Parts: sequence; C-alpha cells; structure tokens
Amino acid sequence: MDNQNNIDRLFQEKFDNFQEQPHEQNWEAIKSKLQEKNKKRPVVFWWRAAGIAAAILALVGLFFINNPLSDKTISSDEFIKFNYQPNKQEIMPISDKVRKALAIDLNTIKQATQNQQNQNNNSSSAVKEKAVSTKNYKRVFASNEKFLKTFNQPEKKSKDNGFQDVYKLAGTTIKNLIPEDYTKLPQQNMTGFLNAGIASDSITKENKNNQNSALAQHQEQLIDDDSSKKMNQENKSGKWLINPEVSPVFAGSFQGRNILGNDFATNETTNDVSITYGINMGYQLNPKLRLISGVKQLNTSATTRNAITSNISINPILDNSNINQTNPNLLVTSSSNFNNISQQVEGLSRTATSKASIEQQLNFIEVPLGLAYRLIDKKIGLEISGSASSLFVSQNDIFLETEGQRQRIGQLSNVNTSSFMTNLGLGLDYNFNTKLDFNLRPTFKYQWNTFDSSTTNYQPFIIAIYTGFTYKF
Amino acid sequence: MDLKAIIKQCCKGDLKAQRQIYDLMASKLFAVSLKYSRNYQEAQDNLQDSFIKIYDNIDKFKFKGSFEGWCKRIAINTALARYRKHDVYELFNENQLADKEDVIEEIEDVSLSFLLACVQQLPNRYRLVFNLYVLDGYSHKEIAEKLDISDGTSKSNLARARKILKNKVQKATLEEKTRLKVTHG
Repeated sequence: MDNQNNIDRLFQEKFDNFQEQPHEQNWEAIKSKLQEKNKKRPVVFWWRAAGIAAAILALVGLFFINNPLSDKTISSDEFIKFNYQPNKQEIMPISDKVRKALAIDLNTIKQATQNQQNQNNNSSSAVKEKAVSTKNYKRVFASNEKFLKTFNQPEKKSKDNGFQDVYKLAGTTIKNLIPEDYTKLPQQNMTGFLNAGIASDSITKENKNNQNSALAQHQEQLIDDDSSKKMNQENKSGKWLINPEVSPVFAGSFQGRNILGNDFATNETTNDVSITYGINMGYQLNPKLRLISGVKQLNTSATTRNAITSNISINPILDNSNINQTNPNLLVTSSSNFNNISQQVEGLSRTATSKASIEQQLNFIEVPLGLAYRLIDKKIGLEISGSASSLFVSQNDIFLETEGQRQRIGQLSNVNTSSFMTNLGLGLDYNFNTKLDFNLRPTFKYQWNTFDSSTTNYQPFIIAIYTGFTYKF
Repeated sequence: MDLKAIIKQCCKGDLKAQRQIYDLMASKLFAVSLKYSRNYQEAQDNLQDSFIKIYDNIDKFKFKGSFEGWCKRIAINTALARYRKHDVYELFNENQLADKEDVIEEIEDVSLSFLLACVQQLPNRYRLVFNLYVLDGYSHKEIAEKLDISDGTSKSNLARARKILKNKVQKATLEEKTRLKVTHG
C-alpha cells in the first residue's frame, strides 16, 4: 500500500501545475479548421433571412437560369484536381478501390493456384511438378497480364468487359486517377508473387473458368459500387433545382362552415376545387437536405347557398356579415336572418326578394421557405418537406349569383393582407435522368392568420396534390 | 476584457476571442493532452480537436464551475474517445516493456519528462485509468462509466499501471546509482 501511495504521490507532485506550451502551428491548424467550418454555415444565414431570403433565392435562381454559366458542368479534370491533394497523402476513394481490386484479384489467383497445388501435391511427383511449374508461371502471368492490360487501357472499348468503363470517369483515363505509387503496385506485386515461386500444376480449364468468374464477379461488384458513386458525383454537380408544379386545391376547415360571418353561419357552403401553380427553387445543402423556396399562385373559392338578396332603399346595417359591399342598396343575407330583419325594418317584408348564392374568390401569392429531406434516393425517390409560406392576398372578390346572373358585390372585409401557412408534404419522384425528375407531392397546408380572428372562428386548411417536373442544374 | 466577455464574443465565432481563449488555455490543455496521449504528435492532434470542440460548444458553458475545468474535461473526453475508438484491447507484454531502454537525462530527482514518458508508454487503457484516477481524481465508478468497463477492471488496470511505473522508476534510479558508482568509485 505504501508503495502505491509513494508512486501516486510522486506522479501527483510532479504533475501538479504541469503546463506545456504547444507549438504555434497548433493554433494555425485550429484556425484553418475554424475557417473551413465558417464557410459551411450559410444554413444559419438562410434561416435568419427567412422571408427575404425566399425572394432573393428566387431571383438568384432566375439569374442562374439565364446565365450561360449554368450550362457549365464540372469537367472530370476539375473534379480530379479538386479532390486530389497530393500533399495530404490522402488516397482518393477511387484509387483505393483500384488498389483493393488488384489486391483482391491477386489474392484470388494466388489462392486458386495454391489450392490447385495442394490438390496435385497428393497425386503427382515432385519432379513432374517442377517441370510444369514454369509453364504455369506463364499461364498465371498471362491471365494477370490480360487483367492489367485492360486495366491500363481504359480508352479501349470492349463488350465483354465493363471494367475500364467504370474507371473511365467522364473521359478521364485510369492513369490519371491512380497516384503514381499505385500504378506501380500491380507490377511489383506480380513480380513478388512470381518470385515467391508459388507454383501450381496444370491449371485445368475448369479452374481457369473459376478464376475468371471470380474476377468477373468482383468486377461486377466494383461496377455496382462505382455506378452509385458516379451517381452521387453527378448529383453533386447540380446544387440548384427548379420545379414548376401545379395542383388542384381541396380546401376544408377544422372549424366553421364559412368565412362570411354569423349571418351565414348555418348556410350550406361548399369549397370549390381551385388551382395552385408556381415555381419552386431549391438549393441542395447536402445530399439529403434541400432548401426550398419559390413563388406560387394559390386560388381558393367557396360557394355559400340559400342567401336572400333584395334591392332596398335603406340598407340595414348587418353587424354579423363580413362582406364589404360596394352597392349600399343591395341587401344580401341568409334567409333566416332576412326574417329577423324584416320584422325590425318596416316594409322589408313586402320587398321582392330572390334566392342567391354567394361565391367568394380569394387568391394569394404564396412564397414558401422550407426544407426537404430525402428518405429514398433511387430511381423512384421519396422525400418529406416542411415549409412556412407567406401569403399575400392577390384577389379578394365576392360574387352574387342570382338566377343565372353573376355580379360582383364587394369583398371580404376580414382578410389580412399578409398571413402565414405551414406546409407538410410527402414527395414521390421518378428520375428520368440525373437532371430531370417527375414529381408527385401530396401536401397538407394549414393557414394561420388569414382572417381577422375577432370576426370568425373559421380555420381553413388545404390539401394540394402537386405534380411537376424538377430540373437540376 | 474579462473572461465572460471573451467567452461571449467566442459564441459569436469571433476569431480574436477564440485566440484569447487559446492563449489562456493552450498550455494547460496541452499538458492534459500529453498525459493522455501516447506521444507528442497525438497530443497535438488531441489539443486541436479539443479546441474545436470547445469553440463549437462554448455557448453551452453556463458559467457554472470553472471554465478551466470545463475545458480540461473536454480535452480528457476527447482523448478517451480517441483511444476508445482505436484500440482498447491491446496485447501487452510487461517484460518487454520493462526491458526497454529509456533515455533519461536526469535521474537523481526523477524528472517530469521522464515520468511523462513513462505514462505515455503505458498501454492505452492503463494510461487512461492511471491518469483519470491518480492525476485527475476520478473515482473507479466514473472511470468504469467513461471507459465502458467494470469497476474491477478499472482497479486491476490501475494496479498494473502502478506496477509498471514503479518498476520503471526503480530501474531508472538504480541505473543512475550504478552509473554514479562507476564514475566516482
């Protein structure tokens, strides 16, 4: 125990107040990491910029569409330069794969020949073995040479081997992709392999086939791996996207039948199917997450039936109507309310009335800002999106339909000129190619403060099923 | 500017404030990193990672307890994560380690750099446990939680670490005595 305490005390005393000034290069390293991080922070900026950002994004997007720069895709050379940092001693993913491919393939051959050797050791004599071994070196070498040949001639097209095509990334030859050290690797390994004297007896045709199929299988695997990688790379090149879309508008409400006011509280109202259309802009923040914005026209309309209309000289003030009428001599109310009023206002009961329907047309300019998160990124993709929209009233009209005649009688008095809406969507898309998608997106939209809450308890929502095309650039 | 103001500036990502925090803490955190790492290079890596974590999370420091302690805990946790990730179960031959020649410049009063080298040469888990328990005052229970091992393992690791360190210190002292004898005798 004493010993323990002694050793503990010795270290504790020595390390008490232990400080060591690190080299200044550490700060430089930290600083560069911090600066790198700061560059990746536009997300925060976007969120803070909120509504304004939506408009700016749309404008920037339009600029990019018209700008010839948008046609420029990143060439393979640029891609390589961008990724390959010789000083960092980092192995590029693709070259690593090539290296692995070689290592595995050499191992496959090595194993096959060794297995063969083991089998034949049992049956054939050592002398015979030696005699044929030289022959086999050549065979093994020949099969590998073929492999290396295809490997080093990526430009050459051949039907039976898709291997070189895989590594022919956008017209770049394989040699450019592999750092110098790795191009040497297969040859070095081959020599070592042969010098090691791994011999085998005659490789039967069957065995050879096995080897080939093993190679082919492995190559297929590489192709699979790489095509997905290739896809990702191509996705990276198109960070912006534009998405014109259109949808029918199915409106409904959680509370209240209509927004016309208590006068019409019991009247039957149907929400007509309207239309919404517009353009979405998107910016890919990372492979999964996309910032979305845009500009849309959102139309809503509803018809309230069983209204009574009458031309009168003095219009009683209707407290409970949200219709701001242009013609003061036109009475518009519900049939039940008309009876109430006619008792109060003299002569009204004798006035000629007609049945009417009230049609309200309320259109908005919608500017959404939100995020879409990709759940499945395949030929048929799936994503969820959430956004908040600013709504600006673009049309607010009330029409009266009497016996086939339609006239504008005014507008809703309780609509806020700007309001908000939250959107939740589930998007399905079909990728024609890396640039063009077809998409279908059922979206639930909830309106927040479209109407003056003191005048109505009406809480509308909208279900839209957007269809459109997405173009990435 | 007082520390609170500097930290607040740091929350905004102000590089000047970040440098000030670095100046204040670097030598202390580098000492922690040296103790918990296997060598100088790894200690430097740990120091850098620790500072990045500190800057990233500085808004979470609520001025409860000392800022230095908070920073040190981050540095320690960074080191623990590093070795937990790398290799916890390494094979180790004590004899081999005991036979290893150490370069010792000053022995009469065993130097800090010698002791540091001894600590750094300990197998990962022994080093972490020894540092946490002896030098940074963590309990076996806390260590067990941090390293995802049992209390018993923590205790036995500590005992092994002590044994190795004791042997090394004794050997070094003995060698020095012999050397002195030869020179003077």
